[in-house]
Parts: sequence; structure tokens; C-alpha cells
Amino acid sequence: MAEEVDRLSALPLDIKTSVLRLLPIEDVVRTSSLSHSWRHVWTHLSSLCFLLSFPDDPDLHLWWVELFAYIISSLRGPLIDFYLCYYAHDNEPVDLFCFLNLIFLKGGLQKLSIDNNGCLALIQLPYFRSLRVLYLCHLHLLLPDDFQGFEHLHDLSLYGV
Amino acid sequence: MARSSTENMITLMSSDGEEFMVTEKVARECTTIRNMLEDDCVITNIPLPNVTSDILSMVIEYCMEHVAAAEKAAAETAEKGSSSAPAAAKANKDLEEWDKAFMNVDVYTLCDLILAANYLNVSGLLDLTIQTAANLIKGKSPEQIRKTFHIQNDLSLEEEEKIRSQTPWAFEKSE
Repeated sequence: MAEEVDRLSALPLDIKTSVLRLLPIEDVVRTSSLSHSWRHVWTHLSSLCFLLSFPDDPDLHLWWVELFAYIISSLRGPLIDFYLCYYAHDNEPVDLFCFLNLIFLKGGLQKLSIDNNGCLALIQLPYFRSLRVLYLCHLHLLLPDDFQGFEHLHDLSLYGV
Repeated sequence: MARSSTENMITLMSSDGEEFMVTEKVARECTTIRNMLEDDCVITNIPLPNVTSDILSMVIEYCMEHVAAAEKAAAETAEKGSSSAPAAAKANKDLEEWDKAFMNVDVYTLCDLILAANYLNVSGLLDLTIQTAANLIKGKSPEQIRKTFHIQNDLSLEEEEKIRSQTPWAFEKSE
């Protein structure tokens, strides 16, 4: 072969992260095992997309929480855009608050989208003060105790909330 | 606009010295060039030292196709007073098909197109090429991705095992 050059790895970091931004989380994290130069590329992302089917088993649920904590703590900067698509089972409601609270503790979230394709589920929202865009689908919403409005919010979409 | 015959022509020069004559409208699809033209409207010759002739000709082909599609849509709207939705949907679909066929390139060309689209700031082409690269990664095992893009695996077996054991769920579906 005249050319066996690795052009993808040679692209600037911001282009590589633009590619990763379009992928689900499994694909994103999997790139860490490509080579040394790819090891930490994904940790520069500021937006994450999760397509999850939460297991009924509470032990597995705990496992997910730990993984999620690992992902959030690995990110170098704040998580600005978070998209979660999941399926709520009626017998074992998922407590999304523990997930959202991890993002809350990280700070800086501007865009939150949660799409529930299962049964109507309860969601307690932490007080994301920097939130600009909120999209919620098929959820029963509980607002934070000291809630006084999201002052930066300019785009709100609620479906079956 | 009926001034197409007298429209300004711009010469774009690739890194290897080849010259490409394009209409100002086509050149303006590149935001980088549009900004140059707005700063200095008498400019007619633009050297592009970061883009080779084969890649530049592809970028121009993309811009010409998208300008032609936009002009056709505008002409139809002007003729009928309003655009008919099915015709517009078909035109969109045709352009999508054209984009898809345009992306039938090897990974080297793809990466060069990404760089050129980024440098010239052609947002449609940048989105298209980045999505194409993402599609080549999606759902693939690390080995498949390395093979596609000729990525040298310089991790030791132990290092790779360690990465996998930290995030085993990321590897389940692709194996």
C-alpha cells in the first residue's frame, strides 16, 4: 500500500470531539481503547447522549449509577448538553435523581433532554441554574424545593409532563 | 437574480498551484471566502495553501450542487408563487441522495474533506463529512475501527485490558 496513514487520529482535537458528539455513549467510550492518542479524547466532550434500557434488577441499576459517576467524573470540563433516552418499567421505577445530581454537582448544564418511552415516571429535577434548554417527554416532574424559575431558560418543550 | 451571465468570477488557487474559476455565489458557500470578499470586495484571486487541487475540486463540486439546488428551489417558488410541498420534499431527497453518493470516498479523502470543510467553513459539508466519519465508528469494535482508519494500536495488551475492564459495558455490543 502506498498510503497507510492514520489521518483520523491526526485531525485536530475539536474535530475528533465533533465526531464523537454524534455517537451514543458506548461508542464514545470505546474509542479510548483505539490507541494512546485516543485514550482521553472522549473526556474532552461537553455533550453526552445516553440511550438506555434500565434493567429491572436493582443491583444492575446500582451498577449503572457507578458507571455514570465514572463517566461524569472523567470529563475534563462541565457537561453542557445531556440527552437521555430510556424506558421506565412500572414495577421498578428508576431514580433518575441520582444521575441528574451527579451532573448537578459537576455544574454548568445548559441543555437537558430526557425522553421516556416507557410508563409515566416520576422525575425530581435538581436546580440546574444555568439551564437554557429543557426537553422532557412522558415524565411526572417534581421541581426543586427552593425553585424560583430557571432564569436563563429560553427553550422549553414538555410532552406528556 | 438574472445577472448570472455577468456574475463575478473568483479564482481559487489550490496548494499545488491549480486554479479553479468559480462564480462568486459558489465561492460564497465557503464562509471563510465570504468573509474575505466582504472585507475586500475587489479580490478576485484567492490562494488556499491548505487545500490540495483534488480536494478543492470536490469542495467546489459540493458547493455548486448545493447552490444549483437552492437556485432551482427559489426559481420554482418564484414561478408558482409558492413552493409545492411534495416538489420541495423530492428536491430535498434528491440532494440527500447526491450527498450520500458524494460521500462514497476512501477514509483519506474523507479526512481531507473534513479538514478542508473546517478550514473553508462550509458548514453543510462539515456536518456531512463528520456524520460520515461517525457512521464508520458507530457499533464497530476497536479492531474494526483501527482497520478502517489504519490506526496503529500502540497500547500494550495489559493497557488495553485495563481500559476494557474499566468500562466493560462499552465493549459488550460491538464484539
